[in-house]
Amino acid sequence: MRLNLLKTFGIFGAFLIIFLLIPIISFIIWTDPKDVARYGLDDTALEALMIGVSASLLSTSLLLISGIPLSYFLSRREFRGKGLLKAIIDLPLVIPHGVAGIMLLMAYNSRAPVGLLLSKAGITIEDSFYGIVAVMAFVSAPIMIGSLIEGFNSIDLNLEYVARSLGASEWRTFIEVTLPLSLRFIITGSLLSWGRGISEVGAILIVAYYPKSINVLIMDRFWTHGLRAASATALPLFLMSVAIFIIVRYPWRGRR
Amino acid sequence: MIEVRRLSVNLGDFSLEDIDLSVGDGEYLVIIGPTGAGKTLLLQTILGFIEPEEGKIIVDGRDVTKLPPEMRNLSYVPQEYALFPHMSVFDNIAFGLKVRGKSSSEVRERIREISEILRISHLLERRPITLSGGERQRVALARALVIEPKAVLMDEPLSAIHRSLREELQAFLKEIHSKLGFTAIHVTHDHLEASYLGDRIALIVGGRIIKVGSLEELRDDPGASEFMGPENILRGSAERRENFTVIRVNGIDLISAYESEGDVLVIVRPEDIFIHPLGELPKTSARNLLEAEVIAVKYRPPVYEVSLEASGVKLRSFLTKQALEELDVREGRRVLISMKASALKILPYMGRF
Repeated sequence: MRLNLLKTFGIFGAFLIIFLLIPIISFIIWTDPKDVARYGLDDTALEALMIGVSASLLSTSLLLISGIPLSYFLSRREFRGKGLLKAIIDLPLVIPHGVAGIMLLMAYNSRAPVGLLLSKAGITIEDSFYGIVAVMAFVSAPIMIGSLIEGFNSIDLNLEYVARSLGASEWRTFIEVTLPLSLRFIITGSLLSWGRGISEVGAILIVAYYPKSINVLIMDRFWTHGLRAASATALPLFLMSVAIFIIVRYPWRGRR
Repeated sequence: MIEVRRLSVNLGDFSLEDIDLSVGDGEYLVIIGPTGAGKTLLLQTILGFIEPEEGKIIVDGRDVTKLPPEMRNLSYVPQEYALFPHMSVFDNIAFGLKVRGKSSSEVRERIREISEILRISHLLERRPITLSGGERQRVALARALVIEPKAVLMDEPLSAIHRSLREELQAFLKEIHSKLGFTAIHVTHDHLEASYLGDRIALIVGGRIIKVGSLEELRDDPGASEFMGPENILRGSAERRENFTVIRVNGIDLISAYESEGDVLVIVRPEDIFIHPLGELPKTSARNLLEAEVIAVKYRPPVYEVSLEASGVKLRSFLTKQALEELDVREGRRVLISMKASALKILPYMGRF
C-alpha cells in the first residue's frame, strides 16, 4: 500500500490526539467521586468556583463592551501605526502569567496614580474580586479582540453599503447588519475569553490570592493535601467548562 | 435627474479625474470600461461611500455631495448582490421600507406588488443562501426598487450569473426597466451588455470619461470603438416569418435563423461577413446579400479590418492579406457582402421567465 500525504499526516496526527485525550480520560476515571463530594463540593470549593466563574463572566462582559467598538474601529479604519497597535493588543499572549500579574499590580495598586483614583471610587485590586477580574481581562483581551476583528473583517462591506443606501444610518446598519452577521465570532470570542479567564492562575496568585478563586484553591489543595484532593476540587470546574463549551459552541458550528 | 460635475477622487491605486455625467429621469445609462478603470469607484462616490476631492453630485437639483449615503435616496445593487444572509427574502426587501418607518401593512402590500413584477413571490420565505444567481439578482433588484429611489446604481449586476443565463437576465432587466421606468446607472465591462441595455453609454478608461453617447456614436468614435468589441452590433425591429426572422435595420431587411420579435439587437461577428466582387452572383447559400461601399481598410495584425457601409448600416469584416489582394478591396470600392442567417445572432427584447 502506498502511503499518501494525507494518510501519513493522519497517522502522525493520531499521536497528538492520543496525547491530548489520555490526560482528560484519566482525570475523569481516576478522580474518586467520594473525594469530589468531600473536596470538590464543599462550601469553600463552591464559593471559590462561584468567584472564578463570576469574575470571568464579568471580565468577558467588560471585554465585549469595550472590545466591540475597538475591534470595529480597527477593522474598518486604516491609519499609520495600526500594526503596532494590534501588536500591543496581542502582547499579553506572550507575557508570562506571573509577569502579567506583577505588571498589573505595579500599575493599578492603590498607591499608584491610576490605582489611587480607582481606590477613591471604591475599587482596589490587591486581594480583591476586582483584581481577579482585572487579571482575567488583561490575559483574555487579545483573544476577544482577535476574534471580533476577524468577525468584522469577514463581513462583505457591500452589505453595510447596501443598508446605508436603503436609508439606514451608520448606527442602525451596525446594529441590524454588522452585529448579527458577526454574532458567531462574538460568541466564539466570548467563550474563548471566558475560558482563558477562568483558567488563569499565575497572575491571580500575585494580584489577588484572596478571595480564593477556584484555580488558586486547586493549587492550594495540591500543595497542602496532594493530587487526590486537587483533582477532586478541579473536577466540577472541568465538567462545567466542558458543558458550557458544548452548549455555546455546538449550535453555531457551520452557521453564518 | 442625477448630475455629476467635475468630480475628482484619488484613492492611490484608483482615481477619477474630472468626471462630468448626467442621467435623465427614467434613463438607463450604462458605464462601460475595462477592469481598473474606476467604474465601481465612480458608483460608490455617487452613492456617498467615498468622499470626492473635488466636484459635485446633484440629485434632482439638490447638491448631495456632503450628504451621507442614507440621505441620498439612491439604491445600490453591488456585484454579487450583497443580500443580507441573516434575513429572509421578505426581510431583505422590507429593510428599506422599515427604515423609512412604513407600517407593516404597507410593507406587506409594497412587497407583494414588487415581488409580483419581479416574479419572486414564491421566494419570500426563503433565505438568500438557497437562491440561484438569477433569483438573487431579482431579489436585490426588488430590494433596491421597493423604496422608489431617485436611481438604482448597479455594479456588474450580471457578472455573477452563468453565461447561459445572462442574456435572459439582460432581457429581463430591460423588461423591468421599461415597465417601471426607473432611472438606472449600470456598470459593466461587457460591451454587448452595454449595447443591449444602455439608452446611452459612457466609456470610462483610466479614471476619465472618454465618451458618452449612443451605441452608434461610441462605435463611430475612433477613441472609443476599440473598447466596444469587434462584433457588429445593430439595433432593429424583428418580425417572425415561418421559420426565420426578418429584422429591419435602417430600412434594410436582414434575415436571421434565430427566433425573436420586437426591438432587438443583432450581433454579427466580423469573420461571418463575406466579401465578394460586384457583378457576379457569388456561389453562396447565405440568405443575406447586400451591396456595400468600402469606407476604410485598416491593418489589424494578423488580418485587415474592412469598414463597410450598406444603405447607411455600418459593418466591419476581416480579410486576410491574400483575400484583400485577390478581391482588390480598397477604399471607395463597391462590393457585395453575404451573411448567413445563422450568423445573425439576436438579443431579444422580451425575456422568457
